[in-house]
Amino acid sequence: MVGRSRSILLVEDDCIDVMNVQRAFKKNNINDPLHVANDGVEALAKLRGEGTDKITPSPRLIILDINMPKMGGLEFLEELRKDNQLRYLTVVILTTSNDERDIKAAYQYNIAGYIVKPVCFEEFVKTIKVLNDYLSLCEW
Amino acid sequence: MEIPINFLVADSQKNLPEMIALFSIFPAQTTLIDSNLTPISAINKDSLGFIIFSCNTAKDFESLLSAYVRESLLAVSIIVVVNTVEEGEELLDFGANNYLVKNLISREAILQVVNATIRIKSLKESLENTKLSNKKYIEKLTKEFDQFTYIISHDLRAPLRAISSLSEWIEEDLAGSVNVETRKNLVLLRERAKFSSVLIDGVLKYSRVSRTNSSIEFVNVTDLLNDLIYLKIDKPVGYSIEIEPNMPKFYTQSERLEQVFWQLLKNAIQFHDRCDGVIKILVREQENFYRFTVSDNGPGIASELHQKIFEIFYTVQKNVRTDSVGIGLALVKKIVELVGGSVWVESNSDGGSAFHFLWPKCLQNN
Repeated sequence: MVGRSRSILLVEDDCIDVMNVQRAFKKNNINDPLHVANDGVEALAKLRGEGTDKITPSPRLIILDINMPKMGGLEFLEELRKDNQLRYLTVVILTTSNDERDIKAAYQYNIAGYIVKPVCFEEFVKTIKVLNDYLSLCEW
Repeated sequence: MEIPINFLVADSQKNLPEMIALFSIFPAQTTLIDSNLTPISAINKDSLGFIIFSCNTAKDFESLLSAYVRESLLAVSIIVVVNTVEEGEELLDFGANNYLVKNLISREAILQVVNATIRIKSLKESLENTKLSNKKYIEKLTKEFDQFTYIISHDLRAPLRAISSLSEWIEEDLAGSVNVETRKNLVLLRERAKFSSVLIDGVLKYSRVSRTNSSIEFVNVTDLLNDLIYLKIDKPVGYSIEIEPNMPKFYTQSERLEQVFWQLLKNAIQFHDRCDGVIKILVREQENFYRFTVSDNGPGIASELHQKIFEIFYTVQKNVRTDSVGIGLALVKKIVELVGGSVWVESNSDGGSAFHFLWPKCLQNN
């Protein structure tokens, strides 16, 4: 990555899905630090530095699952967009849900994209590559 | 007998004395007005149960009805007094609750008609109540169903993805040391996981189709088919798809019509056994329907399977092909029947199959 150092926050409760992202990063030679939070509450704590180390600088990207215990993706977005410090962060949804209601609801929170997790890992590697290329194009 | 409710008798001045005599059976409960002088809005509507309205023309009745709606008297029963049974029957269609025929009017007739009206009214009310509780029940079921399909789509898919990924990683991590047999098994494992995932998607699609509203739009079927063929279907080289030139242009649920054509075309290509496939799309106009046909020169379907292939999960080839789980034709049948049509298959003389479906020319917006 050229320019400012960037990190990525993955909000995901399924440990295999976390491995999925980690492996896909590795395959694409993406070496940015990847922080992991297991639900919305933990993610907010890490972003705000409440009771845990704050992620500084704020992550370039939040990859967000929808279905999670404690605080799901949509609730997390609601909180995030209300927070004056955090409302500008780029969020991409990465979920199994292709439910139209989830998609519509998520786009109300100014997300940068909604991606349904592919079943096959090979496809997922390509998905992450496209996402990375897209981010590299965007000013921030 | 006891009549619990009050009567408003509206008639012209000259008929009023007669009505006074007839309704003297319920003296305390009856208000009489000259329908030419006193508007309904002027009377006391408290505990009013019946309006007895002498009616000579349908127009009289219309003016009564508009007053009736305006004054929110919808709980009040209207009994019209008419000259003939035919007139009375006609006014029932316009919204009268019952009628009395002028020449046959008597105290007994009034009692009978009033009692019958009360009974009908209470039946109607209990019917409405049943309808309402059914509606609530259906709403509850629908909500449960939505939740159920949501859980299926999310929670059943997640482990499949995990199985698929893990097998790929195992293969990758073992790299050189994995033998041919193991590699083959890992591939099989992933195929099965993929198959399950396609199956889940299919089931969800099948169960969602009746829930999602498809809006009615103006459809040029030729354009719809061309879009499908060029944008949404992988047509192998050497295949031709011919569209008959007389395809209709009409208002219909375009998304659903497109889904039906997409599935039939996809099947015609997917199950074809030759590299020079010819698929024809035809239409015949009937009184209320268009009969569309998707015809192919493929391997054909044995006539004893012509019904079975529309059943959910039925597949002719019983091997695990990731793109053939037995949903497509079941989905076609469900959509076509949802809009009030039907679908069937016939064998062509050259051995291929022709899928016909009837699609209504005119669809109501739910």
